[in-house]
Amino acid sequence: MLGLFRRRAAYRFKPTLEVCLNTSSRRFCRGARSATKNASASGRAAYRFVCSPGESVDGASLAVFRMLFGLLMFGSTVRFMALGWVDRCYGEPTFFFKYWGFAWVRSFDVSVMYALFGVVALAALGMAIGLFYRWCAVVFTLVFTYVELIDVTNYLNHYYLVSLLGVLCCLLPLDQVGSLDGWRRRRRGIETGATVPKRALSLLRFQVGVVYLFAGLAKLEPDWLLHGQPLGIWLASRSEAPMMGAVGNLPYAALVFSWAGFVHDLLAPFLLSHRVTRRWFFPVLVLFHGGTFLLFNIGIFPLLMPICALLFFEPGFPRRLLKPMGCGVLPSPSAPLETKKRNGPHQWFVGAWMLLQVLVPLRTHLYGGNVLWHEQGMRWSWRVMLREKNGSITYRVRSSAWQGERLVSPRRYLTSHQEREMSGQPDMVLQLGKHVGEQAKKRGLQDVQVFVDALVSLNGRPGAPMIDPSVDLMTVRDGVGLAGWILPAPKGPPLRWRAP
Amino acid sequence: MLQTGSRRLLPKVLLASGLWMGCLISCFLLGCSKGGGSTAPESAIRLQAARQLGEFVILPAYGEFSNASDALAFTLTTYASDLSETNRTAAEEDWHRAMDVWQRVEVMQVGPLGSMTEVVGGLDLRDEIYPWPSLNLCAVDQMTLDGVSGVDDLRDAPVNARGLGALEYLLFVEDSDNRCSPLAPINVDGSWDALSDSEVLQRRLNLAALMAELVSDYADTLVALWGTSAVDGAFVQEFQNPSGSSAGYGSAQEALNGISDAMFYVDTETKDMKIGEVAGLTSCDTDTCPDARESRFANRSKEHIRQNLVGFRSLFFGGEPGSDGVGFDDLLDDMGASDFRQSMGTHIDGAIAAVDAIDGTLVAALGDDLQSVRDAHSAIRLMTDDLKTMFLSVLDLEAPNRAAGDND
Repeated sequence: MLGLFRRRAAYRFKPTLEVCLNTSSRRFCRGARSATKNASASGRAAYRFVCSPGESVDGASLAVFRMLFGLLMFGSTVRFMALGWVDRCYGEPTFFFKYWGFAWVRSFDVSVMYALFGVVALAALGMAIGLFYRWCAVVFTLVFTYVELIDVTNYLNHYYLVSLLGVLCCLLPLDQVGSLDGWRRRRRGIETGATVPKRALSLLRFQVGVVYLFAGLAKLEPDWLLHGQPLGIWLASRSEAPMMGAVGNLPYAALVFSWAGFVHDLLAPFLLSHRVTRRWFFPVLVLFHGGTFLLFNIGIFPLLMPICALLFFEPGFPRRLLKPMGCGVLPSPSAPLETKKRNGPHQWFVGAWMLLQVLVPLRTHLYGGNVLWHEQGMRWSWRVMLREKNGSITYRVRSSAWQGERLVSPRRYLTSHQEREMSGQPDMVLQLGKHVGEQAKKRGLQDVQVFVDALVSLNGRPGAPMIDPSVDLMTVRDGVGLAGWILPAPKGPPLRWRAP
Repeated sequence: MLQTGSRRLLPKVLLASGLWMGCLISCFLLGCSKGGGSTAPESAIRLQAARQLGEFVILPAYGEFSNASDALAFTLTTYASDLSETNRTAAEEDWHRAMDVWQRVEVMQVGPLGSMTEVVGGLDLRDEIYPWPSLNLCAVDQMTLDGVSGVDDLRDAPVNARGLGALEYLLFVEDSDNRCSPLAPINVDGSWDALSDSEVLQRRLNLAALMAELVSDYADTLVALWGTSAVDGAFVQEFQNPSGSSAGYGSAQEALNGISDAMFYVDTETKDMKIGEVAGLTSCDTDTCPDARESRFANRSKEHIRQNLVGFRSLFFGGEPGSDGVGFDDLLDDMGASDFRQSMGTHIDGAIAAVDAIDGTLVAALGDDLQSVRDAHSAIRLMTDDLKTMFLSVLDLEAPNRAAGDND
């Protein structure tokens, strides 16, 4: 990835029309061209997107995205610290749940964690104003992602999206327009451009489109569409929410909202992509996210997505907005150098990235069953706000030193926040179970076995066992394979939605 | 033409969207989206339930305890001044009465009674009245030896050396020994040994009378802080009008969440500590741990457990079973979870019945019929499993101590 970055940087000021940068990629493009000659329209579009020449577009909309994204992340990070969540998430816990493959990620003393969050905030600010942009983007992405990898209970879909956007920020030239770096370069007499490779903008649009599309597809399931759950449960308890509360308590509101959310998410990338539909859909999108903001604690998500949706507007829309005000802060894209086309990110990277973004959310279908129950493939698949899940977890520890079993509550090792998150997610129940067993061994107990009674309620269903209570968790290997120790989801419907 | 129209429309669309986003960002930074600033009517049934539980279940329980503690203070003062068997019996019965009510109140640690750091409106009054499991018997003995001049003097003593737990020790302990280590000054300098048995008894009862008075003071304070709807700032108003301008709960849902947090006492304290540990099921390294029982001197651990469950039941049903009060059971009905409401009600009754089925005292049952104690634990676990799973899910309540955070 660093190589790609260096290569992209090397071509940054090189006025070239070359697209396929080396022989192998030319071969790839030729191969793909012949393969897609008779393919469908969507296939040809995908081909053009990955392999089309480095057409340039105005970089103004990317500049606006960079500024708003940076400011939002700055505000969000400062808020995280101000609300004491650094202490709660990294200071109070004595046990951290590890991501598979990232067991090496460690937490630090809380003062160090505060310092790291300070670094994230400053880097986000640097991105927003475009000062030392590339370094700030790299630091922001690395530190933010590291911090999020420390404990699985802190996972949020929008944090994952921030990390993905951060990676793209590192690689794409979002600082071409409206950045202090550009201003500094111009002061030194270095010509700077105001255009960016179209592919850069398209890649960001693709990323945002993937989020909406998969969030919509994830809602294509009976609990959401037929039973209006878990929205029915949530709306009933939020009647006092400003503006939205009264609406949410109307008859059939849960079903109507569920369908509205489904249609909104599913169609968003398409309606945003066309000028005619975009002009009326964007306000709808903003209202939709505003409504979710007023009803639910979903942090920056309702703010982040409208910012991302701005990427779908014409690349030069900020200039048209600023023109009547007589603002000329953005260099004109018609400067001589800007007639030149630039290279975007390497097409191999673009192709691989896009493929990954499609395959990762789809992996859940390899597991079968109800993903909301077994949670295999749940993370990183844009299944946003789809479940109300509460569990009662009790470990049963056996040892040759005891006659019977000892019951261990997760409370002994976890904060309340961690316990709540863990109780509905089998992989975390397994991790803690192994930890309980290891702790027992450290106390000198022999032949330790750990079983678990994990009673879980999904979307208002009666509590049902989520994990086979006869399986010794100490013998289970954690991994990405099909987990036979997770029991099938309960068959019955969720809590019925409230009809008038 | 279309393009021109679109071009004209774009700035307006973006401006309007920008203003809306600006409002959201302000809300995001100022945290105004939840809680205060309500503009919509409360859900009628949730508000009804909050009112019923706050005004007609919790507050009356506090009032009942206040009366019981007053009576206990009176009979203990009488007993301390006249060491007759009749007065002793009366004092012990009043302690039982007060403690029974208190054990119901334990499940209702809402507002000023609750922890200052964890509960909305918490003032740590519970620790002033009954800081169990924290109890320093040596410090109680030290005060017995030194004497205490009055209630104000006693108020300055550490919380783990006073309250109902210390009072139980002073009233029910049968020997004249102290609970300090042999190396403690009280034993090294021989000052304790210099006291006769009758002196020890008299000093203990004098101290107990003062402690009962202090407990009664705190109980009165608790009731006064809750007050009535006529008193401005009374905590009961948090349940009558939760979304009012006070800094407490922002909505009926939050008030109900405050109560459900308190109900988790039966999981953490009643199930795990009062039965689980004693019966050797949780943090106990031997087969049983009788010394971990709650009431070691009056031997009423079983009754305490039962009263915890009765308190829980009154919150669940909004009063005694069969009463008209709107409780969590009605909320479950309203959400269409009547089957679960019935099942949970059955589990609550089953838990109480299982505790009743323990023959004799808890400590005796540990030796004679350990299985009955473990059965009671299992029965309570069925009830707490309901509480932690479908109860929270259907009513969209948060588990206790879960600080606000983002979701998605």
